Amino acid sequence: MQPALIQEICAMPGNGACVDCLTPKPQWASVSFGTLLCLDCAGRHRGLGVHISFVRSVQMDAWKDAQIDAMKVGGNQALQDFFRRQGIIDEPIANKYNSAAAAWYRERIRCLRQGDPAPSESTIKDFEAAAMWHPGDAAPSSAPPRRVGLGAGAPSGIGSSAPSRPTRDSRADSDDALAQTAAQAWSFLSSAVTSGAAVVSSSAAVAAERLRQARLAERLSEGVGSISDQVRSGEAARTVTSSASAFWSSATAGASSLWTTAATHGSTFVDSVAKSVTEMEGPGDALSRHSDVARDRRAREEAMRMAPPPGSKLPGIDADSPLPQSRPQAAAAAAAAEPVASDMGWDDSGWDSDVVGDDDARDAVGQPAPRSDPAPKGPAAPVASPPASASPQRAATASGSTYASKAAAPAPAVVAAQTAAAEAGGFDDDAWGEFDLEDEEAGTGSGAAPDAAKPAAPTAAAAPAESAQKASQASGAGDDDDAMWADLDQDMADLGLDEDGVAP
Amino acid sequence: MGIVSSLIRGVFERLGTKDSRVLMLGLDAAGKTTILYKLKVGETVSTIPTIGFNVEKLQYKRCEMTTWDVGGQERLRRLWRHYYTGTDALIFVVDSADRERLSDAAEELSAVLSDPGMSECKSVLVYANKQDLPEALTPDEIASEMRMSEVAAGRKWWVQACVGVSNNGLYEGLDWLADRIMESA
Repeated sequence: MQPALIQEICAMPGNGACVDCLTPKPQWASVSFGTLLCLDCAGRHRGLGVHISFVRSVQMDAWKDAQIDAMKVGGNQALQDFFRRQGIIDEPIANKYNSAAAAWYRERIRCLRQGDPAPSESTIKDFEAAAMWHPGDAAPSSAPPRRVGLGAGAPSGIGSSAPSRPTRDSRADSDDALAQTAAQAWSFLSSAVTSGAAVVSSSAAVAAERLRQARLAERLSEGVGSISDQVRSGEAARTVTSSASAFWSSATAGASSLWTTAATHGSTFVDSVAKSVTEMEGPGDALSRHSDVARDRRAREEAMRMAPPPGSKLPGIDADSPLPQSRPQAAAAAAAAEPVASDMGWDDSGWDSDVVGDDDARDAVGQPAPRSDPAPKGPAAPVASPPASASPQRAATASGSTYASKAAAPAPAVVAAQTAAAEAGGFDDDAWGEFDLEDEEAGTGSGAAPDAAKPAAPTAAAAPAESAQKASQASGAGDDDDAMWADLDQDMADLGLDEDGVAP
Repeated sequence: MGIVSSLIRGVFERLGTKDSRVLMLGLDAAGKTTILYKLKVGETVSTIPTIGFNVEKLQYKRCEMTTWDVGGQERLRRLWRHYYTGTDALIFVVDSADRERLSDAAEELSAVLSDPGMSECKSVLVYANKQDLPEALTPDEIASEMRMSEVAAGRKWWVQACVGVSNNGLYEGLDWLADRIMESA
């Protein structure tokens, strides 16, 4: 945006402070409402989705005429007055902007910027139906995310080549059938036990439990099937170390005999158990359980076809990967990450901590457990987490410097100098003050973007003399990343951005 | 059993890990930072616009992916090129519900992939993010709108539907990417 335009918009009533939290000098804008926002509120608005609030940076985005027009017909004061009239001024952002009133106001801005007459406030009620929040709604400050069936119905991905599917030969298929039988047997056995014992538990709880156990059993037996298949093939078995081979073989033998037994017993009892279950719960329940298991299986097989199959690298024992090693690690990563992994990721291979039977998966692979305080707001420090008070800009810069200074390869002195300069304070407020937006615009206009090969004079010059000294002492360290860092530092300095990403 | 298997896995986990450098780009507010931290710590963090970049190491399968997430505002996009060198794989994040700017995203992706600095980047994963929002485009639609087969010609590419805030689809995409990275090892 032109500086004159920025000034004009900033001078509008109320635009001297964030429309939502009244932080002074807002540098972000919601084009949908024609208002100015602070960095934090811009983040919250972005989380609402572009259909609710389309956020632009005053300084860092290119503005279209229509967007500037929206700002001119908007203004913070106007929206605040409106929200106050509606009695929702003090609501959290997610409520305010998901309300019918906000939808109406968006429409008002759209009409005004196009030169159309604004709709009357009496038409707000027309927006009630589509609104995600209504005044008086107690609960969620935002609508619960719609659960989408990625990989179940519609394909969840498309790519340059179809993903490879796990190879299945006839033996694998027969193992699979066995596994399915075992799983069903397990399902029925457990159902008999559960429904027999838990007379008081609700039928829903019973069904959920049964389904869970069926899944567990299926996963377990699939894992056993694939492992035993791998072990049985001669060449593969020869490639493994003897100890590991012995370990896995015994595990396999034990587990598959267990499952064979389970399957045999299970199929023997299927009829009687099914009968008893039917008597206990009525035929409808039994049927639906049948179809639940089958549907569940079908859905997951469908998912395997559609999505890049997690099982495409079957665990371990082949020429490429001597032993099952990737799966436990990945399972731990998944465990550390989110339940979705267990929903969609690892079912098909059977390689998760359930199979191996220990709870140490996470420790064993050194996978960090989810941090309890994970949320570095926005630009978080990569290498070393910054204190909460550190500004995003500094966090990024500081970690960049750390990263660069750790590198060991020789590099041009200017790079080292700049790295040192950045470390020694090339990015403090004084240095930022050396450059302003106008410089940057001029530089860009003449196409003189700084390049990795060029010495980065301005930053080095702006750094205190102390840093120059430090730079001369630096014996040079760096690789490609160094050059990149130096260049990046240069560009950030050229942009004249301060901690909020705006020109001072 | 628990201890033995822990030991065995501890040993093998350290064998054959591949380091790679992954660049995560996309228009502003596409969801790059949210996805990065969802994958890193498994939680939905409340983000602010990224001024500069974030970088995290993602350990997945046998890949250690040093993932760079660079701010996507118009004027920050000029900084993207500084991150190109040595990039093994690109993750391009698209807001599937932002239909108006999909063509902008396509242009940016095309520019990134045609840059000589990206010659080492052999795989492109496109996250079709925000599938939970109304009117989100399907991966198919995004792939054709962005002319993926043309823009990413000569590279392996995959468009993965996902919901960054709920984790849905993220690991399917990462799975694909890790496999490609291991292939090129």
